[in-house]
Amino acid sequence: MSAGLRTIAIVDDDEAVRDSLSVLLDAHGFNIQVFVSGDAFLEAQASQSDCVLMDVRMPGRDGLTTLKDFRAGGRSVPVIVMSGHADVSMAVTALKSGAIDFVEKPFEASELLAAIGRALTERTAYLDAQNARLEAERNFARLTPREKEIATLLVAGEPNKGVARSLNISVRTVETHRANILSKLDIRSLSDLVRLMMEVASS
Amino acid sequence: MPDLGQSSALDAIVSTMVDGLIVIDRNGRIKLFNPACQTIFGYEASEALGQPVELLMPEPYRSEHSGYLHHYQRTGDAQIIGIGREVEGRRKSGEVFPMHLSVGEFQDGDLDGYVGVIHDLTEEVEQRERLNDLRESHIHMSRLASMNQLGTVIAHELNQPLTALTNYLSAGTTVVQSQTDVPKEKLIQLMERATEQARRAADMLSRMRGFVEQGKTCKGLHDIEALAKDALALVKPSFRNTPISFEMDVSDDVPEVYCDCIQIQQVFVNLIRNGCEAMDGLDPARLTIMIEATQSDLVKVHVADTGKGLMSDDVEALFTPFMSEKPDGMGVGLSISNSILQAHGTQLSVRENLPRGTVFSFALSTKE
Repeated sequence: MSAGLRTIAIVDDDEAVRDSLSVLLDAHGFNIQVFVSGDAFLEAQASQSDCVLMDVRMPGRDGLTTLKDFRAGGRSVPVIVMSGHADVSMAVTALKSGAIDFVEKPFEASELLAAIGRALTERTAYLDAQNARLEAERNFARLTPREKEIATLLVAGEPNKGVARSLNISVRTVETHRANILSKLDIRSLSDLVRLMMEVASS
Repeated sequence: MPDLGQSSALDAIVSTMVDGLIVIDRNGRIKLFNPACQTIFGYEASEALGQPVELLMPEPYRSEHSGYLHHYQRTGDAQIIGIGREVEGRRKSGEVFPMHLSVGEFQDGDLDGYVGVIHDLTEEVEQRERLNDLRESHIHMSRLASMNQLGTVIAHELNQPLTALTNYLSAGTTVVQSQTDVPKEKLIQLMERATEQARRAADMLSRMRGFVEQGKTCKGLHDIEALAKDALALVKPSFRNTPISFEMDVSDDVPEVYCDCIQIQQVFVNLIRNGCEAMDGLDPARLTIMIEATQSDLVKVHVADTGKGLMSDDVEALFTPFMSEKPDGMGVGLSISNSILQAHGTQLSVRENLPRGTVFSFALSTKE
């Protein structure tokens, strides 16, 4: 797991559960944020956690509703749902509500830590992909409109000649543009260009 | 008293009476012992006549009776004469049985003494006890039924202390494994917190077990606030996912009340659940338990909700079994509660809560 991702938010109305989780996760080197209710968690917009442990049964806004509202607010932090009765229907509901995993109370510490590990690994992959996309977008934005046009045609499978014909320019000019595109985007081949264009398209 | 029983009409009446008739003289010697008495006590008239009446009494009355008689004759202070009451008799077989005895004093010229009429209560008492047992087991069944509903939720609730307990112990293991010089205080603190959670789980279990245990009578003086709190702890988990807030409002210096603690707890469970169910889907919703001491020996208890209120004014129907205002209600809770309270010499009353909801009230005495 990434060394940078170490803050866990705990949302549980039971004081002993909150305290014991804090002690346990602290012993494993995590930073902890605790919230006594779904409302308190949602209100703390500044909360910068890397993973959330959320109890299902809480007075007021229950865990699953909190999770839905959290996702509706555009937050992508992985949430592990804790439940006293993790039956199949409960699991399905949790995953549908946007949970990455669920653990049944009482759980073994190893089980919880494994779930947190998986969540943080996914979080890292997600953040890496997001960074790659942002960088691709940034680089792509540096191309001139003509270069963007040519890049699009190349990715669509047109050979240099075909590009020259459809834009009514010389093959030589296309070759020059192509070299500029690769250099501006800091890539070496057409296949790199295809990958980069896909990143941009997916964002 | 040679004249007694000489009138043949009177003799016929006395002989056919279903109740026992005994006449004793001022010294307590049996002078008349009718056939019903022979059936009741198992002595022939010939065995009883002339004997001291103590023959028919179990201890301690057997030894004390002549004292009573002299005390009355000296002071006129009557314990039973002119009055009737339930006492114990003793058959020839030695069996002690409940009977109703009424005693009159007569004086006619030289003739004087006491007349006793005896009604054997053996069957009545047995029937009363059978009814009592039935009532108790009915109440117990209803307690089992409510624990059936509350129990599942409480069992899940047990996971909270168990989770915390596991966490504390795992944290302890991790700390010991990963650090070489672990401060003693840190470990002690973890162990103490783990212990506290184990205790919390044990308390939850014992509350549940106490509630469903049969035959355990706990009649005596009890702290009514503690009973209400225990009941609240049993019901609360079922309504954790609701906006209902719970409040206790207890006046100062509430004395202990005389009651069967499990049954009164059952009344609380029924009333609290009832109130919470009446607030289903409402927000805000508040359930308040009020306990107030009064000038007299009574402690008043109110369980108030801010729910939909009663649909009808028919209070009688409310306390009738199998009549429910709730779509899936059994209609048992309130009637059981009321019969428990009646056995405690009180009853459930109901009124509207303002601006919304219902208040159920009862009073318990500090005296037996």
